[in-house]
Amino acid sequence: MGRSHAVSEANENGGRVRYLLKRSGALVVTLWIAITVNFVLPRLMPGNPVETMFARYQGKVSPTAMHAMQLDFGLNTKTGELGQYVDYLRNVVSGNLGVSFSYYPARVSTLIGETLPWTLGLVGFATILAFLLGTGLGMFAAWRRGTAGWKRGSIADSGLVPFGLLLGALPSFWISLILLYFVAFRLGWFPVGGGVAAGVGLLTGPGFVSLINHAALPAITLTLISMGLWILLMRNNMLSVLGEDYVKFARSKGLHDRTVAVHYAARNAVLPVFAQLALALGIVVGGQVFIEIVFSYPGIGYLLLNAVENQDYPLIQGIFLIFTVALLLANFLADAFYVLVDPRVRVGARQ
Amino acid sequence: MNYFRTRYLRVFVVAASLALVGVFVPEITNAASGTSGATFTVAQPWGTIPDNFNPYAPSGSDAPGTHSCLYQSLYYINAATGAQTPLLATSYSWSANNLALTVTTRSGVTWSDGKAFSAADVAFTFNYLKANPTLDVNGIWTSPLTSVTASGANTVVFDFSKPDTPEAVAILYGTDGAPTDILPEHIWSTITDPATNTNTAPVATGPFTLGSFSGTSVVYTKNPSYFDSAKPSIGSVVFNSVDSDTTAELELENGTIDMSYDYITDAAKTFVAKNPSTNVAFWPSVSANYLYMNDAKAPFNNLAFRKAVAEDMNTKFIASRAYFGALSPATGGAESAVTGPQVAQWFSSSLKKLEYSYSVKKARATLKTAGYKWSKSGNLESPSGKALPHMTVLIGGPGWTDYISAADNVSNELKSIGVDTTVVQEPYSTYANDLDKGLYTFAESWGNGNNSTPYYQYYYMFNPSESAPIGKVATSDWERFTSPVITKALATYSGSSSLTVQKAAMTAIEKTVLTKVPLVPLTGRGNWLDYQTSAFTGFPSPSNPYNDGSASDQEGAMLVYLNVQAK
Repeated sequence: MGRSHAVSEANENGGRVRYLLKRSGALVVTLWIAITVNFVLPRLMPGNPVETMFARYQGKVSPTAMHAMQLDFGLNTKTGELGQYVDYLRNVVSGNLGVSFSYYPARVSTLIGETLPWTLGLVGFATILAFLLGTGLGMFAAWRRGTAGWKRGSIADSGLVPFGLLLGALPSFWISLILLYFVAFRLGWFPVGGGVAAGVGLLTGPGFVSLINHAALPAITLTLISMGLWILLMRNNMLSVLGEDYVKFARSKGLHDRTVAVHYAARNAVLPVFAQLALALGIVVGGQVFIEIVFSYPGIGYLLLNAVENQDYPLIQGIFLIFTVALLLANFLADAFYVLVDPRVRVGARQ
Repeated sequence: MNYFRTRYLRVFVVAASLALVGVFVPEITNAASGTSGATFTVAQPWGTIPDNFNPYAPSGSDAPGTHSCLYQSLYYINAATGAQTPLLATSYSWSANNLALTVTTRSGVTWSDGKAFSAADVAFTFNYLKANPTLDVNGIWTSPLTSVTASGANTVVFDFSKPDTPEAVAILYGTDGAPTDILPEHIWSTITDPATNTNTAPVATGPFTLGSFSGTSVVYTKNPSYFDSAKPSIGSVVFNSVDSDTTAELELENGTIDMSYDYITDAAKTFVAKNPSTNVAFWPSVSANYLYMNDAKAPFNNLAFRKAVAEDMNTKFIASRAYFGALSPATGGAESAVTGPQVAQWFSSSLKKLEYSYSVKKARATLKTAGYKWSKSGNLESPSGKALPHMTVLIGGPGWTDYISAADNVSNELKSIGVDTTVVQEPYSTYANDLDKGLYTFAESWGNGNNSTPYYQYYYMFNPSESAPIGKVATSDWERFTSPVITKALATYSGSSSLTVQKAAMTAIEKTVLTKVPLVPLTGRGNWLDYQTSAFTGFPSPSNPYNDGSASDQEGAMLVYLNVQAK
């Protein structure tokens, strides 16, 4: 409280703007670097897409097809690398991600548009669920330990911490495969792959049920892999907050333990955890790619696999661009959000 | 105040039950409602399904079913047996010293929009390919074909400037990967950008029409006006997109799908044995896997060395390890690179005495006679006493378990003649590039252009037009071997429509292959059709091979959809 008296309102706003400007500048530079790396990487791969495409048929198409494909992709009229780079930058800025080789003549933006909603739905739902469950469990563990703390050794805490560590350490594809084999295949509770049953409209009742059924296992996997982080983060924050003077003061006032835990401790402990939400997206998106492949879920990770297998440069670049922009923006928004809720950041920027 | 328990707990309960809702709500899975007849479901092996029903979409970026449900070629030609199934044509013949191919088209066929099909549509299609060379994937107009004209409602004449009878296969069918599908003139005559046209409202002659599409599945429903009123018996075909072979196998085993196309490791044990009364792996050999040798380079430019390598290969063992008994090398004629069922018709018994068989002793003797020596440590040295260059066995991948196993065994076998090699696994594109440009020593790969007779594979293997010096792209003569005898025999074959003349030409080629050993056939190479018969009968099988085990999106699968019946 004392600090806000020392920092005048005008200064505070100035610090806030300056801080955000600095972050925006960093965002633009990072984006440019990411876009450039994105351009260079696929070109370091040897071979060319027509050869790959042809090899994919493994002798089932006559080799004369290669000539027809080369004409199609315009690969025999090669512009220099620098020219390609300039074109690429111009196109990215104008939102034109080019035409896919392997889904020719489909536009990259169309393909991403078709698959992104599946991924966003899954990631969004699973992240929120994992966050709620994880922070809840973390809070619970710390609260049990904290209140017992005073007594030490709560079963909830000594069970949940190793559980969180274990979840965080398990690779997503492993959990996916286990769930796929046992829950989907052996028990037959869920379909073993796909996004929705063939031929049903998404907006109909059966379509919605089918959608949920197909999404359940990928969503559970995603929730499991990201939940461990929340459990541990929330528990640790909560424990340190429980040791603060104002918590002791609240307790000594004779307030109920739960009131103290939720109103005094959890509210403060959850703030830094929120900031982690953006960073955690990285883990989620990475794990998502494997999960989609294992469950043949029609999201963007699955599209990425197709694109890489076929050396579809424009599609690979488009997808990485979406990943990069999404993560950078998420980080930027988390920073911005933090500025709004935590005065210490603004002061730091001013100094 | 019970804040924690009430409010937070409620959130968890709601969230957790949302996640589990699928467990409790049974899913209604009737894919194609509103159609009569059974639904036949297949796995679509190439991932996300493009919204594209153009049968001439470049690089095969059309939706699965475009070739196997909608569009038809004049014939379907079985690459394994050479059998020809008439579709939009009923007969064909060569005349005028093999300068004219006359095709009789089927009458009583209508396009799915109700308009009549005629020979004019066929002539239009071929002239359309000429006007749009990017669509001519089989290179029909790079052959000596000069004109295609319709005469009357049911006759089309193809005129050639020079006899090229093998071209009939490209005209009548094309290849498994790119069939020559006939287009409706009244629709396509106004389409000026055929390569980029996605043809989302396809009009075709096939037994099914497009029902519904999404990025994860396509549904085709029965075409009531199909020319064969007795077929198909099923009501719809559904393609479900999967991206891993594991998913397809699991779906096949739990009955979600009826048919799939993928290689299953030790299928007899891991797939068929799980339910022998329903599970079938129909894997006819349509080609071969070869041990390619870079014949333009030392030591492969020495015949004795190549011959010794061939004699040193225990192909029976290699095949049993790579394919677990599914694709053993074809008996008799296998060494001449004639594959599978074609041996009976195309391999002359007079050549039997030229066949070599596995014997390390003989291989070492062949090398010794040619002056090769062995160092004290047992390594093979050239006749001039120099150590051989370091050699590798190149394979593609990753994850091609059959190739990995075969290459390991090849590398092992080579040790017994003192040749030390390492197996190198490269990503698809690098692998293809190295084969094309001759940047390898030993490599395992497939034969190109395999079709109804051995001519096609030999043509792409040995014709000078498919070759190039090391460093330049050779489209398919990866071993970089050409021979005047073979070139002449290929020309004799293509200039004739007489089976006797063609057989003699094949014998000349086979003799050269057996004596010059440009490459070593290792194992058969199959199509990987897997199916389960719990709901349907009438699948192709070894006793009734009406197709060559084609993938669900190839034209051969159309015969499956026409012939299967619900139990």
